[in-house]
Amino acid sequence: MQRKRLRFNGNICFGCMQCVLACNYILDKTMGVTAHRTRIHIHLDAENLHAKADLCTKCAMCTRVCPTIAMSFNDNGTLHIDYSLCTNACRVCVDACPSQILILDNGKPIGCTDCLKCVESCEPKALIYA
Amino acid sequence: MPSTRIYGIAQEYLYVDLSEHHAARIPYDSHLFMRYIGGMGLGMYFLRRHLPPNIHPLSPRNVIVYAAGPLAGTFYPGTSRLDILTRSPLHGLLATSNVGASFAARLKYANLDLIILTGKAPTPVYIYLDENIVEFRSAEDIWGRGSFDSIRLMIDDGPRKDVSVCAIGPAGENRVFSASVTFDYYHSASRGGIGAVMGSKNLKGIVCGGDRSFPVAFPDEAARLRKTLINKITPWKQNTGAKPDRGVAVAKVFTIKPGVPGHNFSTSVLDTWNETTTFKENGVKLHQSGHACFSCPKGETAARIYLDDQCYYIASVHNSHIFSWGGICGLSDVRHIWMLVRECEDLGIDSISAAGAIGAIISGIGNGIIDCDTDRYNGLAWGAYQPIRTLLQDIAFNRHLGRDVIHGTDRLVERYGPKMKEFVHTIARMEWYPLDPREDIGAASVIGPLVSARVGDNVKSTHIVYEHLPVGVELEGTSDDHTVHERMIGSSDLPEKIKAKVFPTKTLNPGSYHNKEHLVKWIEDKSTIMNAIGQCILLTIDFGDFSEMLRTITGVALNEQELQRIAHRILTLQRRFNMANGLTRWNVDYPDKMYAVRSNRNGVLGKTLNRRMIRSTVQKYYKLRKWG
Repeated sequence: MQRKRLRFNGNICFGCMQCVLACNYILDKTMGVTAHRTRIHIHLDAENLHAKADLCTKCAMCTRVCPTIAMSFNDNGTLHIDYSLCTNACRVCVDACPSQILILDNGKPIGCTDCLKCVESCEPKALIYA
Repeated sequence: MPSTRIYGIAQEYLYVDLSEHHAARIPYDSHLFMRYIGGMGLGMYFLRRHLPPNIHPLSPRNVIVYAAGPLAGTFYPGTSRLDILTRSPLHGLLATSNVGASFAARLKYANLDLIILTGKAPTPVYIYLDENIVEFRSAEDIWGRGSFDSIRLMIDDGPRKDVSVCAIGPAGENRVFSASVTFDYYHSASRGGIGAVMGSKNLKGIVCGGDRSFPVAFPDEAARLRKTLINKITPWKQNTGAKPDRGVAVAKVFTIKPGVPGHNFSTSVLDTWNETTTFKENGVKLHQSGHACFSCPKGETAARIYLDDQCYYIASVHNSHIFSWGGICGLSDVRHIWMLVRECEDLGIDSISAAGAIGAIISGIGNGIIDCDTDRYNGLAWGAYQPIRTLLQDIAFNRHLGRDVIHGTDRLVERYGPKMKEFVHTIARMEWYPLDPREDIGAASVIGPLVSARVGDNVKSTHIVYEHLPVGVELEGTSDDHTVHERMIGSSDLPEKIKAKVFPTKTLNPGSYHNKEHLVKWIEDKSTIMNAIGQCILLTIDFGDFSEMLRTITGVALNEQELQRIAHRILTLQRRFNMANGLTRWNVDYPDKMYAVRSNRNGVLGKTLNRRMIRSTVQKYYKLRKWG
């Protein structure tokens, strides 16, 4: 069965960046759209207003390359990281992520946890979880 | 060094001397936050401090301040507005322009609240800055190009693509007094000729690529308040009762009422006006997915305009463009209007001033006062798109007939004699918001340009919601005009005390002069605080909410009365700046024609402006402000 995941419609996104602000806030309650801290990246071609997004596609590449098997997807299809197994700095998962949305926070990898704050904050409904 | 920690602001500004290619980050004291907050307030303080009176606007000693408010870069809706301040070449008074895009947020992420620019670069440059570096890069390759090209090339030239860029176009380079600055392609700081001041400094643009996140005082409360605000705010277009698919959504109230400055204010009823303002019937589609400003989840004025699957415009669908090009210049095809607006942004010229200048020239030609090159401007007349476009380009490039108006439309009177006077519609040399003030557009809209710190413009001193009867609008099951107006006023945050003074009875015309000085003062105070904190004036957020927004982000509690005192302080500072640069009470006025010649409603004579009422209301306003 296909896992539920974030899906993005670039045609109706108007580039307000509220989703990225929400993702940044979730990490440590700061304000920003800092690329290496957010797990959603919006690339805006401002001139023609074409938006593309890097999102977790749940390709499971991280779970496959993790040398300590610390990463897995649970029954709900959400990424689970067992930090007791994680070596905390090997970066293999971060480097392997094709969407580049796995981040290292104080040495710990953090992925999209399906908190859906980005979906909630998207007024034009360009981001959906389906 | 900063004395106390205030969250949400960098407490640093970048001082740039272009002559020396020198830039320094300078901390400022936190007491300035308590006195001016930030944005336009703090920008005004630094402009006054760094710019002595009567410095020529295009001299290297003039100063430009880019100021972001304390809420810039946060997730509060519509809070990333930037204010730009300088001495205007058009009238020598304060030029202040408020712009969206993402520049203010990026500036904050670069750990800066303001940029203060002075001097003149020896050769054309643009500035690249982020949280770590400030670089002066050669702009000789892009000098002469339109702002769209320039923005694209400046982005391509840098290491990062997630940046915000502003640039001037040919109009700024040629020091056209109405030149604007274009931000992120589709947002512009248009009024007052800020682009010309940048051009005089050989500064093509600024690339701002800040990427630093910052902590706030009360993040949990801020998150809760954000949710409340998003649910609470009503976009302006809905507040006026207009439906987004109506086309010129925000202009609906105007489309039914008079006030159209048709054919350079010669008629307030245009046969083509319905065609101009009705998109659907023309096959034009308006998609509510245009270019939003940073952090504006409502995409307030964002839209894309399509006709036959071709996109003509993708940003702010604002009624001033319709009144300028559709009204003053008589263009009825909406495609032409938006193509000209886009052209204005590329050329870097104020759409309102350009349309006013072109309208005056067409009137002059039509009345045999101005001779023009008939080959170059073949068929230049009301509604003639191609020759109007040629003339617009000639203004920006300072050539042919355009030369006559690069220093303001008033120069036409000096060039062609006093007969041109009746065709030039400016207040203190600047075209006012393109509505015919002789018609029933509301007293606050009429006196706004005369008392506003941004002389000649009423955007900071009036608001459509308060004064206009929303004719034909249905709201909560009623279409009675006065009931709808009462409900709109009732749902606004206008204090009861002012409501009772300004709108005492239901039958009183909301546009009358009755106690309007109180309304103008209140709206000015509110918009000043909005400009100081960085809030968009199009989102109807209550005055009371500003205190909470500020407290949750900065940790500083300022109640509504304190905010009003700060607004008054900022406005007084602006007034002092203008007076030091030559403003007197009565050298700001409408042209005599507005008092002497009745408006024309398709052959039926309308009204004139009432000089006695205007002077009396302005006097009362000054008395209320305690400005003597």
